[in-house]
Amino acid sequence: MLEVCSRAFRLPAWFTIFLVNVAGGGLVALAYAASLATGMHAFVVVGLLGGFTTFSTAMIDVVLLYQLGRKVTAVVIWISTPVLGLLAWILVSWLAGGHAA
Amino acid sequence: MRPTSAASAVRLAPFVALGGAVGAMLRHLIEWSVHALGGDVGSGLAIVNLLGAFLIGLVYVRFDPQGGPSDAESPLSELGGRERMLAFLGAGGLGAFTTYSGLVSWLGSGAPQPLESGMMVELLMMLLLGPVMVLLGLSIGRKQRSSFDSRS
Repeated sequence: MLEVCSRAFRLPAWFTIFLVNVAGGGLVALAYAASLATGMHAFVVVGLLGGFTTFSTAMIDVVLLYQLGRKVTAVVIWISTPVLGLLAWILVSWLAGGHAA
Repeated sequence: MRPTSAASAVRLAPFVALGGAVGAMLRHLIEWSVHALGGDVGSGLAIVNLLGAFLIGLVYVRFDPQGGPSDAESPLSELGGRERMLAFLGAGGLGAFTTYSGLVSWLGSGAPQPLESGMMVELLMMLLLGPVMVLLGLSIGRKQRSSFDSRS
């Protein structure tokens, strides 16, 4: 669905993946804060959010951007994705009352 | 390696969904197996993420419209063309096989101090080896493509 939105708003594909991965950090914190039952936790955290975010596409975006000469962008998304994802986790956990942190 | 229009993204969505279901299930089974063999969460994450990074390099060369041989030359062309295979294996299958939310939840909930030394080593290993595994996949994929092209 985000691919459709990114095309509609003409966002670069690598930026969509970056947003998805950072947003996934916040969403998974929300799921942990909700203290879901085991089956629902597997569905939401392992399946839905695990499938929503992607490490492999993020890494190939880093490599291809670097090979295309966009070295600063490649290094920035390479480093900032896990950092911002973790910050999103911390922020959402804090907003949700510290259940997940 | 993404669809060129919103319409084609909608058309390919079922292939992404199907690949995603398979990829997420395989990740779950591998992580469970690693845990059953005594490995920690970080080891399971490293295995699926680095294996997925290698495989996406291969898939990109094999099925990307600008990367691989034409549909007519492809032995898998009868399965529905390169774009659909890329949606199924790349965006869906390997997209869901690997995970960033799992990485973040491991960092966030796995320890009182999210970046304690052991986790930091595993995190750095994943981030440093990720692009290396992609390059390895791309390199092997391009060699296979060269030998395929020279045979045909």
